[in-house]
Amino acid sequence: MNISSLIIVAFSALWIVLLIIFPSDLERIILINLGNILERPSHEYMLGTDDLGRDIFARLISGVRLSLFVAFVVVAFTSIFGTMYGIFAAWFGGGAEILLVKIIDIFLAFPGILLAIALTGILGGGVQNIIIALCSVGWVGFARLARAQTLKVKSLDHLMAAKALGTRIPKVISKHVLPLLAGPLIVEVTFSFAAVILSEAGLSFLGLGIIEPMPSLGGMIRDGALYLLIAPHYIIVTGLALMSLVITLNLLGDKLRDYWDSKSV
Amino acid sequence: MKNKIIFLVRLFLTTILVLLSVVTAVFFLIHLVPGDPVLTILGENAGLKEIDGLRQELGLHLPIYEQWSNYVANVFSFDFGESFYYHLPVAPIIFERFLSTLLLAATSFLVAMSVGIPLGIVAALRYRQSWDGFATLLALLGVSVPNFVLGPLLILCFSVQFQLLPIGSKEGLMSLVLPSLTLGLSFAAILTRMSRASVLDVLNEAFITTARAKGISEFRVVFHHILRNAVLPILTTLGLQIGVLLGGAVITEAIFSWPGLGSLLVDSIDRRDYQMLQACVLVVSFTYVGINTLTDALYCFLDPRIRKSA
Repeated sequence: MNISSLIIVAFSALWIVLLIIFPSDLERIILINLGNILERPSHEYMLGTDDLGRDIFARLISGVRLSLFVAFVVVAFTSIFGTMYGIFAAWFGGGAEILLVKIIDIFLAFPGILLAIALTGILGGGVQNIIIALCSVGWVGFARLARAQTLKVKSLDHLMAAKALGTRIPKVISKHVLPLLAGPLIVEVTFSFAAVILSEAGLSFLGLGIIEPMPSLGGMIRDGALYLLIAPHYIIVTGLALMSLVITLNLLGDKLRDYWDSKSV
Repeated sequence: MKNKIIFLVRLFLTTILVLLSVVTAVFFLIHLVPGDPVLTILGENAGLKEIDGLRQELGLHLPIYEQWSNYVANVFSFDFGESFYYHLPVAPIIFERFLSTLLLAATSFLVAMSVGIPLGIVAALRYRQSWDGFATLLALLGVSVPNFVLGPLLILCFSVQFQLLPIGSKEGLMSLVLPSLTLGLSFAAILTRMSRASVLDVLNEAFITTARAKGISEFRVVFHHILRNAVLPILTTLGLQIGVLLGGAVITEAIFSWPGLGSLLVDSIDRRDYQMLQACVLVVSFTYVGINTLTDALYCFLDPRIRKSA
């Protein structure tokens, strides 16, 4: 087992255990206690307290939980919708394809996280609106990938045979096209999971994402940056938590891609 | 030559179409404001006269297609309306901020190029050796550490501990250093990965084996045969990746209160200054589309293979 597999296993195990054994304790997460603000890590508060005297550790765990929830919903929607969109465009071709590709191009004209920032800025923050904003940005990547891959496999012999035998299109797509796309799509799902976690944290950092008093990694990092001089551990632990999630997912994506590349060769 | 002109004309027309669609999408942003945008801007205690006044001013009383055609016409004549917050035309404010953002993006780009590309090339040339491992690890960290974590950590290190660099944006060139490092290093990570992959692809080509078999010096093989061929794929993906840089600029500017378009965008959201918000989104997207069009055009001139097949 090499280093990257070790990191993947160790971090995933760590987060799974932490998320299971520490259920959300609303009192520690939300209750303001101005008597002990910005305390250093102690026996009672494993990672100290934040600027309103709340338990950083409890908020961190709960922030990660929320972050994973948002990422799960967004990736589930974008991967399914985007893949269907891409397959549809490539399969039918002609005028429909040109139109569908143009729509993708319009979305791609907004750089990076900009459209999500504008959307949450207009719609307002909150879990629901973040999900809407990130979904409307995220499907494009899957659509492009699915279209490119479908174009590649469309003229394979066994697909032609299936079509010639009169197999119905939904069946051809589900039985013959989707399995061929599975590898690249799974890789994309992994990377996109990491990207959504980062985007959500970025939006919350700007104050456009999850609304206080609900904890979010981005919001905690922003607060940590404000108290950088008094309580540097605050931003360091929240930053490390976010990094560990993203690194794990990125490494996993790299692994899966290597595996898939070696298989397809 | 004829092919080249056809390619460029087609590119130009597509770009116009994309820009028009972007303006349309941004136009509809204000219609996504929950409830009545006029009420949201003015607050609940606004008088009827005020409400009607602003509605007229924003042109929201007109039928939607007329609103749209007015908006498109105004945007293409560089009239972005009046800011509700500053009570001034949006265009001059935007222009000043745009220059700031451009400066930050350009220096970050330089940081990224000078770190990312050499690192990626060395990693590929020393494939699966310790230099490769080191570069790959750095690149992984670079794409996994978001700029809103890296920025504060750099401040903690260079401004607070060692007091080498200023945090604010008013101290001349020195105040550019930390923001450009923050934005540039994460972009450098992407460049490292891209250039490593691109050089590795070329290394597997038969003409490299031929070149080595002919006994050409390693220096010449690397600079003449490998890099010349690896640059083109880097260039094309670079255009698309500029989006990461421009999007990241929004957050980086917010961290360092850099007076650019990004911080203006975020402030405008807080102020419900929707005209300004729309203009910021438009200008950043237009820049991005412009850069991509230029990359495509450049590509057509640089790669003889494209010219022939076009």
